[in-house]
Amino acid sequence: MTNEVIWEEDSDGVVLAWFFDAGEKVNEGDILVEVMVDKIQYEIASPGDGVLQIDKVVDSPVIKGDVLGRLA
Amino acid sequence: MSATVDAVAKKRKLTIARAVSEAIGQEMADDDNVFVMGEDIGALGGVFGTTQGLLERFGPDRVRDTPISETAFIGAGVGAAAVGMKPIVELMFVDFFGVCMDAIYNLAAKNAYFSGGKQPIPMVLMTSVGGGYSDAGQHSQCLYGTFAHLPGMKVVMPSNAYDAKGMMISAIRDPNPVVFMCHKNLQGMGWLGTVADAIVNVPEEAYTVPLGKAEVVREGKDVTVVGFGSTLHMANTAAAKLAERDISVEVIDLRSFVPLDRETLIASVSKTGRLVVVDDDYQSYGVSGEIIATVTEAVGTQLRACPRRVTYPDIPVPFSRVMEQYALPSPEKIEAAILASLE
Amino acid sequence: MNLSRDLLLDMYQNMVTSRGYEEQIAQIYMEGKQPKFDMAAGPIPGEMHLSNGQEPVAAGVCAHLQATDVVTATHRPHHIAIAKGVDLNAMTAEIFGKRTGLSGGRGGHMHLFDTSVNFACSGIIAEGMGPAAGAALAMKMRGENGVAVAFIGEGAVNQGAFHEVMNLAAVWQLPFICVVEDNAWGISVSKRQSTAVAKNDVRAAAYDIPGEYVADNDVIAIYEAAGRAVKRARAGQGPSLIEIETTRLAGHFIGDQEAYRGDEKQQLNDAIPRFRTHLLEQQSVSEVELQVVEKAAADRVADAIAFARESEEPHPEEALEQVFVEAAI
Repeated sequence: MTNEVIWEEDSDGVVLAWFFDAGEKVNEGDILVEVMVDKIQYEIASPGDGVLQIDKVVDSPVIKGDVLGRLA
Repeated sequence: MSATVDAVAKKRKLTIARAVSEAIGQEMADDDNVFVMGEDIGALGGVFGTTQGLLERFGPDRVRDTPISETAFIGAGVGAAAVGMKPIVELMFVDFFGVCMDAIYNLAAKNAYFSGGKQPIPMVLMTSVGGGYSDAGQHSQCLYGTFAHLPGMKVVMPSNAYDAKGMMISAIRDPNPVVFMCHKNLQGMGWLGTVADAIVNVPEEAYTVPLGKAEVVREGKDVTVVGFGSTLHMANTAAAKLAERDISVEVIDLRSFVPLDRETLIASVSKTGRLVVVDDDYQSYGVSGEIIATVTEAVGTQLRACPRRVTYPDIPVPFSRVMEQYALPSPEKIEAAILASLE
Repeated sequence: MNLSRDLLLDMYQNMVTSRGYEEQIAQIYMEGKQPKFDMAAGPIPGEMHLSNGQEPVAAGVCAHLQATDVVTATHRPHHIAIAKGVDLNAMTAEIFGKRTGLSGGRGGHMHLFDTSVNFACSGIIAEGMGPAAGAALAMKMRGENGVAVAFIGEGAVNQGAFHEVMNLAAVWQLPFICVVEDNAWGISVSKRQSTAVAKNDVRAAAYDIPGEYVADNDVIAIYEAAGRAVKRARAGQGPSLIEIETTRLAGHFIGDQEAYRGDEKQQLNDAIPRFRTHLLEQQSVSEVELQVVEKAAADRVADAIAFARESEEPHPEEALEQVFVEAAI
């Protein structure tokens, strides 16, 4: 299961903070990560239950369609 | 952190701003007398995010956007508290205290005393402090000393989200007025840059962290370094660096200016014999002086070195980045002060 | 009232210079702040409050003012500074935090001081009221026929200092004018939510002084209302209150997402193209003349920015200077 970011513009974003460590169990609805795109902070909630794996660490630049993390 | 955290519970992290709003939300759910008012704390959730989500949950009667009228709404906070409500009032930037200080230091802080204990003021005044991001002289101040100096109000500042939630809950339940300061470098606003170590695991249930207790966050034997808010993290950085050179630094997170945990400070310096205080407020006539005086009065003859402080100079905060960064405390300045005290 | 073409073109020039300036500043401000909008980063760090949409207020009022008249302004000062004749190169260098800035980089965008044209601004709401009244007091005591103007926002009218200063100015009959820029928003809180009256000109009755409300961001109507107030002040007839309906085209500060504004932004109307059309159609100004003014404005803005970029940074230890000034012996 992947956790993708959806936004409208083609602008760059950046990962501001992860609220769970890699390897932690998370539940659907938990706020996992905060991303900034075009000056707006977005909180991304978990789409389901699982163990978190992080692909893009804090301060990583991200673009539309990037995978930020995964649930195992 | 605290041993009361349930090891089996989910470990999720929060920013200080989120932790504060979670604390307020839990207390508001529990006690109808708790309400929030201030500028832009409703729809916007606070300029620094300390009340995010509260308006949607509790409605405009208990989460009130005010006009730009600090004297009026802070005075009103005092009055509401006097008749049994528990207002949480936001003063957006601590620098704005000038327009409304009378209600704070002459009423909120003194009514319990004037009334012989019969009219306590259980009001929380929350406010944001600190600079380092070029907001210039009227939006970057700390002013810990200004508030701590005046009797009758507790003055506290958490350095991380765990302490922030627990201290806010304590503050709301405290029958005394509490000035709850959030350092802007730590709050978690994306557009302000946040020290990562402030974002820590925060239990989901309500819990308290006592006001008036400092915490030894790093044990050491060569020197005691006292920091708070932003300077606590700078002290940790300096201590970690010096550990590589076998210098053992004990770091204390003060957490509370009033009540001041003199016991913890004195015990630490009795052990190490050396003291460095890191204070990003103006140098003179403030917290750094009080800490040094209070420790020296108790154990001065046992000191192995003169106490030192790394502080902000007695100047208005300059706008220009090179000048502001020159003035601010930093891990490098702390390292230098520690090394100087070890000579 | 028939306004001279020179005056109209002067006001237009102030407005387009201001707008062009804010547009350039907005772009430069975002340098170094992408993708992560960190306010501390880039050639212009800190907060930035732009005046796009509010130009007519500055142009219409300042057209009546001399260099010796005093103006205080707020955290949203650029349009007023430009209309008052502040040195644009030094102002821009100050916004960039450079050594050649108005205060050598100590003040920045919210603390611009140009004593040669008696302009100052600051960041606490309603703070400029007292100093403007004080300048008016000094003028009266010295028998000068100057005037002092405090520009504030409509949110500031709810701050205690507004009430105290209006009363004092009225009781002492000071040559003082309070100009309220009503852009309907105090950060995220609308005027409707925060203010007990729909229009603040009615508050003038509380001080027994003249009050006027100018609708629709109309620079000519603003000029005329300001003219009446300035005339009264210079004639020793005391203070006035003017509230001007204007428009904040952008957010409170750069970075403000303005979710609280909902759909209102679609209806905002921009006074500059409106005035341009008026000049062409009603005042027999030619397209060529307008383009000459617009080019001069753009060049002036470009020069100021180049000056700021090329200027040196302050020496760090200069932070310690100017806390106290040397006494003249």
